[in-house]
Amino acid sequence: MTAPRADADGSPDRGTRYRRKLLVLLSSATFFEGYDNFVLAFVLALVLGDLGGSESDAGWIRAVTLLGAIPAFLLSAQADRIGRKRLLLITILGYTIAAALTAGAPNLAWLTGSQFLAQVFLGAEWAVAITIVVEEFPRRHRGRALGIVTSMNTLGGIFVGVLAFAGLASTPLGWRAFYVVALLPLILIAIGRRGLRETERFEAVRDDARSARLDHTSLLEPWRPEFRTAVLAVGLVTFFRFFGVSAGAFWWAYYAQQEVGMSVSTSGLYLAAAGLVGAAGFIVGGRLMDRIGRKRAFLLYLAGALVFGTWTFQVTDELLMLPVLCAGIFFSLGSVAMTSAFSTEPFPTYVRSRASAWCRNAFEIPGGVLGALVVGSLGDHVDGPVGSIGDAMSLVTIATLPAAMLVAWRFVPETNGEDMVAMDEGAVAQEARA
Amino acid sequence: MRRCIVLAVAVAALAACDAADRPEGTVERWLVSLNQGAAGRPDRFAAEALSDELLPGWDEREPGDLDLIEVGRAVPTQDGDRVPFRIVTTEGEVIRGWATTQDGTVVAVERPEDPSEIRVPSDGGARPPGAGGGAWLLAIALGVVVAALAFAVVGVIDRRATRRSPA
Repeated sequence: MTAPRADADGSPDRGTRYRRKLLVLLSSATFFEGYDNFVLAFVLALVLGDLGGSESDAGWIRAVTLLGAIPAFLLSAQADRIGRKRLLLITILGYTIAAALTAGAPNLAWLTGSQFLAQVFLGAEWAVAITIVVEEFPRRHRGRALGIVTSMNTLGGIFVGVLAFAGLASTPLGWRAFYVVALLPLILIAIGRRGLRETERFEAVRDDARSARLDHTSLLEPWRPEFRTAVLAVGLVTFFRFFGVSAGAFWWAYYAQQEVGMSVSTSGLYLAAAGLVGAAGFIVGGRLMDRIGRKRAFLLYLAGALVFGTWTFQVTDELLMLPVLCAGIFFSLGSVAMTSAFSTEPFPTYVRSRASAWCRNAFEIPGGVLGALVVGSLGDHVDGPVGSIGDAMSLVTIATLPAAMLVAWRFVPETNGEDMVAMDEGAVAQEARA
Repeated sequence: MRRCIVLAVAVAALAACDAADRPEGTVERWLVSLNQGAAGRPDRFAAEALSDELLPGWDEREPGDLDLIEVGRAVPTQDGDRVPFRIVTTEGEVIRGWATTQDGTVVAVERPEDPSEIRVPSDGGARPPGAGGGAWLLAIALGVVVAALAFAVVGVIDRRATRRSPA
């Protein structure tokens, strides 16, 4: 197998300048993933007022949009076939087209279709961005780079609030202006596409005649016996983690306003402040996993998420809420940096994107959808068995996060300092023996 | 011992699932629907006259005009369940009162002359009921069961995969 130029620790190295440029491009991709996930919820009332629609219609829009995760799975798996660079550019272009279509939506059906399309490209964009980080950054900086790229997701969400605070919705374009802003990645492509190169690991595997024996296309390849445990273990870890975390992110504002008695403006301010601290959680988590290992960092973060996540939804004092919420977001969202490493690093290059797609689209996203639904059903103020969103959220946190911790501790492989070249060599040798 | 644990979990589950139409939820939904203007259809929870009494011109208000909606724990009375509430508009106007519910419908609204007698949770009043002790025990038990199940499933798959995996 062709060994790419390597730095001192044997990792691929195309120079700090290239990596910095890459980081900007990849960060913009994850930034707009976070932006788009927040923006629809934020402008929903304006959209319904403008295009006409009820709460029930809004529920359908949300459900249909989330279904975009299914084709996103198929699209992100293509990175093992057509390459990371090409898929990244396709997804950024596809997302900006979907955003433009959303901005010009004449009715709710059009808007729903456009947002479904946006989710298809965003889902794949996130997966390929993480894969590129894992393959292009030296071992000792991989965690830090993952922390930076994943933190942009939260900053994208905060940016929606900043734009709203700046009065973007009051411009003549109204809610549509938020989707015009989402066209910005197109400019980044225009600037960055010439300098962007295929990852060295992908090129090396593609150019190696021996790797032709490997299956680069089957969606079931990650379920081969040698990868099966890792895919299932990482999948379950991401499922249980996101079950609680996604529900918390979805329901906190409601809890704060309806059960704590905070005003909309105060809860928005708290969320923005906690989001900034949460972004720091990604960065610190990224550095930490380079120092103490992915698994240790993950267990530490999830223990923090269990304590502060449960506590956040029991706090009834406005002053106490801010520090507890900040700690909860720091640990719960910050753990994404580790799950991103879990879902990519244990797998050889030829199957990495497909394995990552399985972990995210077949486990993590369904976990997120189910978590919010379960908390809503349990905590329904009129006829839910628990009758309190705060209590339901704390109960769900207690019931799910320990499972993620236990499975991660026992079955997820530690990949800190993993040598990608050796891993790819091993995959080729194993195929030759089979 | 094992039977005792199963029985305890079952009792906790039943205690936790004490679902009923809660008056606090009905009042809250009514206020939330008023905050959505005409699209909120508050007539599902109270007669139009009551909505007019609390928020005159509610059907022409901007959605989201109420910055805060808060309800406290219901007090059972002969006329129904009385639920204390507090709403704050985006202009800063504070409205406090009691809403009385019967069979999932708001049937009366009172706005006392001395608003301080209305105490919602943020004033130190009682909170609407939430999870009982049984629900917390159940969540812990469920956490143990879910973790054990996940552990067992991955363990079985791991053993099988190790046997089938080429050396």
